[in-house]
Amino acid sequence: MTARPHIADRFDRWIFTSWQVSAPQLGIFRIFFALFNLVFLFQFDFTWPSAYHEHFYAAAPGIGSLFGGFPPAWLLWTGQALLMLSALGMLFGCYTRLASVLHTLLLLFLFNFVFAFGNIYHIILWVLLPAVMSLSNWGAALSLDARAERSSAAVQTWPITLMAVLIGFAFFTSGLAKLTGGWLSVEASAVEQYFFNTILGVGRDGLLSDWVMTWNAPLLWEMLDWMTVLFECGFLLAVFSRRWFRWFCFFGLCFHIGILLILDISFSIHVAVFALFIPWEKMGTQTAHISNFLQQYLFSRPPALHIGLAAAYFGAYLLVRTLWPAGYLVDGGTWIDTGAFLLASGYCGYWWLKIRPGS
Amino acid sequence: MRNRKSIRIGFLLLFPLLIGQMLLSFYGREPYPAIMMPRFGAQAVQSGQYDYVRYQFELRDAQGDKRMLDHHAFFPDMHLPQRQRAVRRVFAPEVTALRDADFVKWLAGHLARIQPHDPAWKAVTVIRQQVRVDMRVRPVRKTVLDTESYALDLP
Repeated sequence: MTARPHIADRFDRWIFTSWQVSAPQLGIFRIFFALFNLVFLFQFDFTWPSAYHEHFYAAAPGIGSLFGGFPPAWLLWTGQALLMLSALGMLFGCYTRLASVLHTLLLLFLFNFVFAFGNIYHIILWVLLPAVMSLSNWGAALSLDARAERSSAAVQTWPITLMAVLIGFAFFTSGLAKLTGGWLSVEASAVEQYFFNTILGVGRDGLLSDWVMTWNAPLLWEMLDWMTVLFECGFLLAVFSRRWFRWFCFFGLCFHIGILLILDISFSIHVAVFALFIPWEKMGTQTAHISNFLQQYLFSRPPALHIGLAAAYFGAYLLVRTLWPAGYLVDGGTWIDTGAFLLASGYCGYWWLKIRPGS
Repeated sequence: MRNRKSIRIGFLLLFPLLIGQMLLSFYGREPYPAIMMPRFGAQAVQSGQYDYVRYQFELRDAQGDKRMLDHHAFFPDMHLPQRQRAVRRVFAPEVTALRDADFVKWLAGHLARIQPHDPAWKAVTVIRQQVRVDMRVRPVRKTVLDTESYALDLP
């Protein structure tokens, strides 16, 4: 006997059985994620880059290299409409796999023109999640696909392990860059410098920024440097333990709330990503109630209801766009974002602390 | 089982791919898309002081009346995180965009678009200041180290 089969078995167990979730629970997560995105897309405009001269176009190597400048507004409008349509497809579980992959591709395409101004928002985990989770067959239950018997009833959980790896690695790249970039140097605080650059240079203004500007506590600033590096580097190790990974997701929410309040940089989209890792296996009773409710009031109804809800969403969006043609909530979303973020994080935190993520 | 084997191989291949794209961004420009979170690794931490560049735009109409806008007011529809970098890149004095007649024409159209009720502006002076922030005192002390400006006549 060699140790090789043992390692292979452990590797297999880690990939295929680390996460346990039923088809209805994946359906609930899919609906939550789609709703989250529909709310996000409601206050987001992808068309503004088309008004800018090509001298502003400085896309990063990758998708952006395929384009020489900003596309016309009609193309971005079409992309945004298709994006919303794909989110509605995920919500109702209508051609779920196609809608999920399309959603990721459209987000990649549309955000390229926003990022082409020089600053990449690091939202890739949220962007990739629909395509990754489409591999789990997250439209197997609570969906129009299931009602039409278009999809199999079996679900896969290895895509959740894959998402965990992507999350752990993404944070690790950030931690490693800080580690090698002098963040642990005790001569000066990188967080402090970054804070002042963000407030004074970029022009952001978090709800607690004015208070934090008065901090004259080098030890505290230095502690924040160390905690950030430890948290971000440790996330990759946590990928191999379900218990630790869940705690890191919880710390991640606290970390992002801190960043939002102090720096006015919102990563509220990570609420939708981290929610995938709540302790589903201990929430059978609660999710059964939600599942029954959704089945009865959403998925047992005639298609006219779904078409009507989709039309109402598009109608409301066009109304808001007409009333606030440009720049709606571009900068003014701090309070709304903070409120929504605190609410969602508080809810996730409640479950974490109540259910105690265990192995 | 074949499916499981493919997934296993996929996971094994994933790690070198992730490391590869990380190294690519560490030693070059960050690609998009890439599995990364914000780095902020190359901050020049130097004894409690740091410098940043601030842009302001002075508009002048045909009567000689002037109005000063900062880069936020100058690009109100651009996402806030993009403004500083985009302005720094496009309005640096050595950048060719400023000698491009098409760009200057676009600039005039942009001002008419963001201020539709104002008179047509005839010139814009771009003011570029290097500011030093001293974080060793509270409130922090800001000192303008250098100011340069150049005027663009609008069509």
